Amino acid sequence: METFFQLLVNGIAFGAIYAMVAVGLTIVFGILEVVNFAQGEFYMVGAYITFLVCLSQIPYPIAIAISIALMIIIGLIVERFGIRPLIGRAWQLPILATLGVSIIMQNGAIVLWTPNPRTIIIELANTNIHIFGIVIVFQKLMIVLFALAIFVALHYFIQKTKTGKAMRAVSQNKEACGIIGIDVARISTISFALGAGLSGFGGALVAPVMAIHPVMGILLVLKCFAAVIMGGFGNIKGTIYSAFILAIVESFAVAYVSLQYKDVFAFVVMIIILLFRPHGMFGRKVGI
Amino acid sequence: MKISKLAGLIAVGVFLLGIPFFVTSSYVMHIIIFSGIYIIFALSYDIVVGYLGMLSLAHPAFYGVGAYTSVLLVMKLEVPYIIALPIAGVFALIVALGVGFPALRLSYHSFAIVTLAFTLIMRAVWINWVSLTNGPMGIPGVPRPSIDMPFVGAIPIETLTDYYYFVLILVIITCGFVYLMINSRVGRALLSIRENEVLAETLGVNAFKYRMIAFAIGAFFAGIAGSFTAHYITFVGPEFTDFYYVTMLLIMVILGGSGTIHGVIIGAIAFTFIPEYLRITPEFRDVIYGFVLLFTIVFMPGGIGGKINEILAKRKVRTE
Amino acid sequence: MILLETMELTKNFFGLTALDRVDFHVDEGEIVGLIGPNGSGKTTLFNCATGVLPVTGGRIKFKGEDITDLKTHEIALKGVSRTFQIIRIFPQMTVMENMLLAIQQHQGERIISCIFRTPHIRRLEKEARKRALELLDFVNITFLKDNLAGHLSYGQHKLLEFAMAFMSDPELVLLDEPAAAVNPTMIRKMMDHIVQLNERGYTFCIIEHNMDVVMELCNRIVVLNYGEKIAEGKPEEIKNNDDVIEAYFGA
Repeated sequence: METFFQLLVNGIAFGAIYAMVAVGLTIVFGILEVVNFAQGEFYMVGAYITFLVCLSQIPYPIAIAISIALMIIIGLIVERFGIRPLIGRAWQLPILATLGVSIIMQNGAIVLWTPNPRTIIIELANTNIHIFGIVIVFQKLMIVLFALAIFVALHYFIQKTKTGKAMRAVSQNKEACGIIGIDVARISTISFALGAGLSGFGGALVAPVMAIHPVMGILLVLKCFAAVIMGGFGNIKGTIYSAFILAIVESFAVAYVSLQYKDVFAFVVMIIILLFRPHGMFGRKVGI
Repeated sequence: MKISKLAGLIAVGVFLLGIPFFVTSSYVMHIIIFSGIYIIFALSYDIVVGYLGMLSLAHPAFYGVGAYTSVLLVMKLEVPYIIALPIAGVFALIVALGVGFPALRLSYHSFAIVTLAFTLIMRAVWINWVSLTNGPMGIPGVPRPSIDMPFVGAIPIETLTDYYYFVLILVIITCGFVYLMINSRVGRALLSIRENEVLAETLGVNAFKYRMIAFAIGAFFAGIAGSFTAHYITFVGPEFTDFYYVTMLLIMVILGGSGTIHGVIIGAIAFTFIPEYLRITPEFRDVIYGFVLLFTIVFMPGGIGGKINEILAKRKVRTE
Repeated sequence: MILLETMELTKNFFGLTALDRVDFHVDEGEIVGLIGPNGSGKTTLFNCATGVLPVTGGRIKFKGEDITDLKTHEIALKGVSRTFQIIRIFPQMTVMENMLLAIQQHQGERIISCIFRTPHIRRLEKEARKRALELLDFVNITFLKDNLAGHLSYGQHKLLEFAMAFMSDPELVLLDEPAAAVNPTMIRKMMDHIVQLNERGYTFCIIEHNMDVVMELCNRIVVLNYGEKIAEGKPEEIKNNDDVIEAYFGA
């Protein structure tokens, strides 16, 4: 029984990260109608920035803030120069552009920081906490709490604020928005930056507990894609649920089925779901 | 056919046949052979990305399927290479049909992601199914092909010159097939689906069927390219599914000019040669490729082939 | 013989009822007009009949066969062709290529034989080209056959789209606003074409807002309003029908 809950808790912790990055993906898709293949790299660079900042003896919480800020800036640059010029043209172009960005970032990371994994040692983060007989690393608990906080904040932002409502409107009907005076370009930029920031935040959060290396983004982002597909493109709630489901399934499957095929489970689940519901479990909701 | 066109083709033919005679460096021959492989691989990718218009990230997987299939057939079942090669292609085609059947029903975006997932799954299978594939170490010592022809006996393919002529034949077959396909009703149907699917369906075109066809044919030639590569470098391994191949294919096809045979050929040759001249690490090279890709997409989405077509079209209009 | 028939055809979009239990039919040899104010469901009816939209309720039959759940290309191959309100052609292909695309023979058509141009395929291609030229001649745009379809004028687009609808030798042709945004001379030409082709045996159902065209061309008119069929009959009957007048001009 202990093992069961242990696996469950582990799954939830991973699910929180998958969910954060996946929500970024789904928002960007809902508003810009672009699949951001570089989302994993934003996560990876976020982790590296955290690592580098911590290396300079700056406290970890500030490192997190810096990572998020820098990733937002990078997101703004990518959107302005890589995506905006392409909107309206063939649908494959923006996706290819994000693939290009992904290639640049992955290889750039190898060039700049070598393929060797890096680690940050933070005492507090790695302390074990015992709750009801389950051992959880402090940082993972923080990850889950932060993620939940973010999702609550996001919900409030999208439901109550003016910008959030504008985002919902754009994701439902872009053309109509232009007519009623919503600056679609501005909303697109904000959304993309938001996605990048979420990814960066995720990367910063896992930095103390995971080995940081240039391809960590790819491995993660594919699971996030799976979550987005399952949850329904543009459907935030669906994506969050799917991310947790996938992570939990993965956690149990690794323990009971096979360690080797670890990364494959998420896809198998995704493919099975798609066979029966090509629009995802929760459907492509019209709107965020 | 116009005399000048015929003369040009003959000149190109003579040039191609004569390459082993005036190229003395084995290093350069090696690169030439690899550009041949990439021409086949890139054309096979263009069928899906250019003519069909779907972003498939499964091509490295088909390449690998072709490679592993032919190696295993030759080494474990002692199938003669001349038979193993087409079987490898057919097997890749069948796998593509299996993947395509569910995947091609999905939205374009889901399709891209699912094909990427497929490549990863294949990679995991090759790494972990050690009894079949020897795992992450791959299978070294792949025997060089030997073509058994009736009446002529066994023709060994061992020297660079042998390999060159062999890949040349394969390239010509591939180009020929693609050319015929594009200019046939199949090609027209594919174009119509890409341009306006609803209209194509209203005219009786079964979009799903043609999608499967293009996807399968693309996989077939990818498998052929994979098989040749494995028997050339005498090795096959999970590296055949590296994401790096996607980068290469995209650059060759997009910068070369998706949807144009000549553009893709130029792209394939250029991007096999260029990295050899840039004495830089593969990662740095890929960073540059990434930027080139971005630049091409934003400013020249038709690629070089597209630019050539534009120029030819303008000349045609002027002479009318 | 009844060619196309809908029985209690219903189509809902997220709570909006676009078609409400419509019973509608087109007999062989007729030219049926489908009229009604904007938004009354005319194009939706076409879309359901051609498999472009899934049906919420009711059945559709073509020559007695239930086609309600068939896919668009399957219905097209049974002998139904249509044009669209916003013209659909392939702008990046030449006029001739557009025409050739409109004919899809699937008897014995194999992919390999298509690609390798077997004599059988070559013969089919030749026949297709001949037919294309005949049709282009009929609408007088043969001189444009090698031009990119995207470079044609609006009127020429309409003629091309019209010609394409006949390449497959359909039995039923659904025209969606053939006279829209077209000058009177062209309208007259279009009407002559339709009459001539109808005499040759093609059955038509036409959505139109131009009442002169409808009155002159159609043997029978069906009127929709808010997704319901409110009237059906000969042109003279419809002209004086109170419900129809009210639908168009309001109360």
